[in-house]
Amino acid sequence: MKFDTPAVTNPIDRMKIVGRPHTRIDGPLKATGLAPYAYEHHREIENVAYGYVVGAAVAKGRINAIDTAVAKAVPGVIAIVTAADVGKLGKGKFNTVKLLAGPDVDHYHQAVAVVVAETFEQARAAAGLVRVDYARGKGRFDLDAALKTAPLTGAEKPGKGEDRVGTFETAFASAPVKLDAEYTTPDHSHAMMEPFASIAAWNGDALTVWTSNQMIDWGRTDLATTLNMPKEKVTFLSPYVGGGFGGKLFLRSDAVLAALGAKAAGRPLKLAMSRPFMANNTTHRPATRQRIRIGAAKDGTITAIAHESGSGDQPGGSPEAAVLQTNLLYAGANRLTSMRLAVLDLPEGNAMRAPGEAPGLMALEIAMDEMAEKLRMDPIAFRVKNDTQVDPKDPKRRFSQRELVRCLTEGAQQFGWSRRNAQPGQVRDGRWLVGMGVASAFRNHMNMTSGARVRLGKDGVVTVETDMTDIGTGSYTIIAQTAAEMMGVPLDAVVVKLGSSAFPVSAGSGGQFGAANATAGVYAACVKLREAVAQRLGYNSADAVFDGGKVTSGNRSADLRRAASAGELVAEDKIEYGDLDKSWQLSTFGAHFVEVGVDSYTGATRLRRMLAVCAAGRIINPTSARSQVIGAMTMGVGSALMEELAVDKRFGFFVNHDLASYEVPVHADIPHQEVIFLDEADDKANPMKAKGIGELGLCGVGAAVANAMYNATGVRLRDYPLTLDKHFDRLPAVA
Amino acid sequence: MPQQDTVLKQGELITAVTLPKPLGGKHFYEKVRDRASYAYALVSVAAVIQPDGTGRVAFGGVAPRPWRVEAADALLPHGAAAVTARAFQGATPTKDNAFKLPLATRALASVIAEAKA
Repeated sequence: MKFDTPAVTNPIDRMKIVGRPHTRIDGPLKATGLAPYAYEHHREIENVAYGYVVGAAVAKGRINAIDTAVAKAVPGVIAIVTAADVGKLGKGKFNTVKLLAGPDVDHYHQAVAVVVAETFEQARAAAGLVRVDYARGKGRFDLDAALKTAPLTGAEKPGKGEDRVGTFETAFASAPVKLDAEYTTPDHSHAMMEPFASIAAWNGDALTVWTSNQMIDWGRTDLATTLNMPKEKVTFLSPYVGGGFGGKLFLRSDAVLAALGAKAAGRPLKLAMSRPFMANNTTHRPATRQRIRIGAAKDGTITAIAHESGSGDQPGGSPEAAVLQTNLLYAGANRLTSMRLAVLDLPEGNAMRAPGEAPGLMALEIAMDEMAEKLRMDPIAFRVKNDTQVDPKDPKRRFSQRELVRCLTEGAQQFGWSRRNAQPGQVRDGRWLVGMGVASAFRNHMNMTSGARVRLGKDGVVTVETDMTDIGTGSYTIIAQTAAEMMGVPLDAVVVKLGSSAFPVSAGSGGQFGAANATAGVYAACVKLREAVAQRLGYNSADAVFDGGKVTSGNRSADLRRAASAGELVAEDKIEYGDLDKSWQLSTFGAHFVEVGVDSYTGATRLRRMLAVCAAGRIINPTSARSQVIGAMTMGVGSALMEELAVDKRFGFFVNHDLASYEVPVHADIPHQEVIFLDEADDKANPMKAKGIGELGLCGVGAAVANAMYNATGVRLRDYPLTLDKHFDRLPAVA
Repeated sequence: MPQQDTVLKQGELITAVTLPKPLGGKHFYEKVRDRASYAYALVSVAAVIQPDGTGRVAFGGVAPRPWRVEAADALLPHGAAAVTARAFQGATPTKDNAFKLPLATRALASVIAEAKA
């Protein structure tokens, strides 16, 4: 199905099942432990061996030799596989750095070997006895130093790496009110609950991998590329994923080493990364150094806005695109954005939930707060004043829907914003300094081709098959809702099968594009199935109504199941997109409100309450959408207050690579959250009229916390995380 | 001996712990950290403060063991800054943990204020 004109009324608009709150259909399986995660496919395989990865002990250099003699002598050890044993491996399209080192080492904890043994303990013990002789090289680990000579991204293209509208410098110089400030965000770790894990089993030259991955087809393709084998010979399965946050968008070393280890052992192999291995072996959100300049007229009209960001990555990597939202979020006649990319020898930087916007808005939305104060304007009024309904660079392109102003104003009402004291440092509650902050939320919606197969069984059960994944988001449930609505059956008459390369290729889970596109793909397949049903029943498919388990056309009506009485009906289709996203800007909007208390003695910041108001098209399932948003808000609090991968600039690695020292919020940090969804349906997005939500909930949260802290204390912080050591000495004297 | 974390000798076991009689006064434990739970203290303060402002104080998160200086205890009636100046006399913090000294002062100030409340 080609989606190239705005959606008209369709069966989803009935919203009997779509748009209503439903608990997860896979919830009971998960609550009872019956949903198998990557490491738990005990029923499918027998005679499994265990793998343990040896990671590089240097961040840059060369392997002179690997001595496996002692390790091989450990009882139970079956095989030890290194790069030298497996010939030249390919490199996946989505991998910047190869997943098995040798002879060169590109980063600390890059895999150098996998030890295969009868038990996990034997493999782990033997891994500790593998002796690797390195020639340690000189690495680049200091972002600030590396950025001094880093080139602009895209400097070879027209525009020389700068995205410009009007003449920023002139307009900024002549602006009566201006801000020029620098902000920093640190490296972040995805820190998902389920570690990277894979089970690999060979059958002749065919490989089956059970793994934990957000994107089945990307993973399958890159695994085949890495192993130099035909994609058709790889079966890639990821039915349940215990969190990914972008870290599992890509093929990682667990799947590759499980496959190589299983081949060497001649039997199935299971392998999970240990927690302390994950931060340096896998990807992370790169740190940024951002400069923002805003110039405005005295009435608050922005006349000039510039956002420049620098980040680092391995050779061949890409920048953290922290400036992109600044091209679209606020009006302003003169604009400049650009990015610099430094080469670093730290582990590979890559996507983490809301890549670009998450760190970008952490800076931009503090800058907006600072600018509002300079203008003596309310931060909400300043944002409203500079709302734009068009792409500032190309005013012919309107936003398909843009309710940022409503998000801000309705949120203000709901949150009690009028009680905020605009003068910072004035509100006390016992020993706590109390403040409120706000930030805009913004994240683009992306169109992705997405396919599905739908079956109508003799028993009337509708089965959906798609390689879409459920990474804790609720995909199973919203896909069931979509099929139930389309086929006019109750939710429990739908079976959803996900996460298998045997199924049609879907959008996958990432970039908050999963829910809207994957359900649109199911919609497309269901349209085909409805046609097949109508044809089988001898009805005109155009006017057939599917409802209550029946199909009705004119004065004729039949049970849906009758259509399959002579045999199962199967339909497959995919949603594909035309140019609607070029003629319209498809984006999602929101507003985050935060109240914090800052301990007047110690400077420790504790969240008191938070509210998100989101405008993101039709909300397919308010229950799972709310879960997505409150989870994202929690992540935003983490990035504001505590999350930071500490870089050892001498040896080149992330020091705090476990969950004790890489702090994320605990329950006690998040006392109260509220989420409001504006009632929307975006007909330019897809037939579901839905857009993404999972990343919007994170975008802006960090700045809302920062702004609330400033309102509480009067001390402005611009370097995340906003830990107490950065401001307590500037709080009022106590001793 | 700051490098010596225990008085146990090879082969010795702890068989019982005898606690002193309660000291009276108000008892406090102030733990300062970057998240509300499940984190090591950046600085912690344990204190017993008597109605007359005298008392005892120990600091955590500043040394390999709880840090007590009896001469500093005697300065409690003079306020937190006086206590920590004495307790951390000669301390050699690094660039990364220098904040702990003023933070300990403020944490102790919160305890003293609460004792007076």
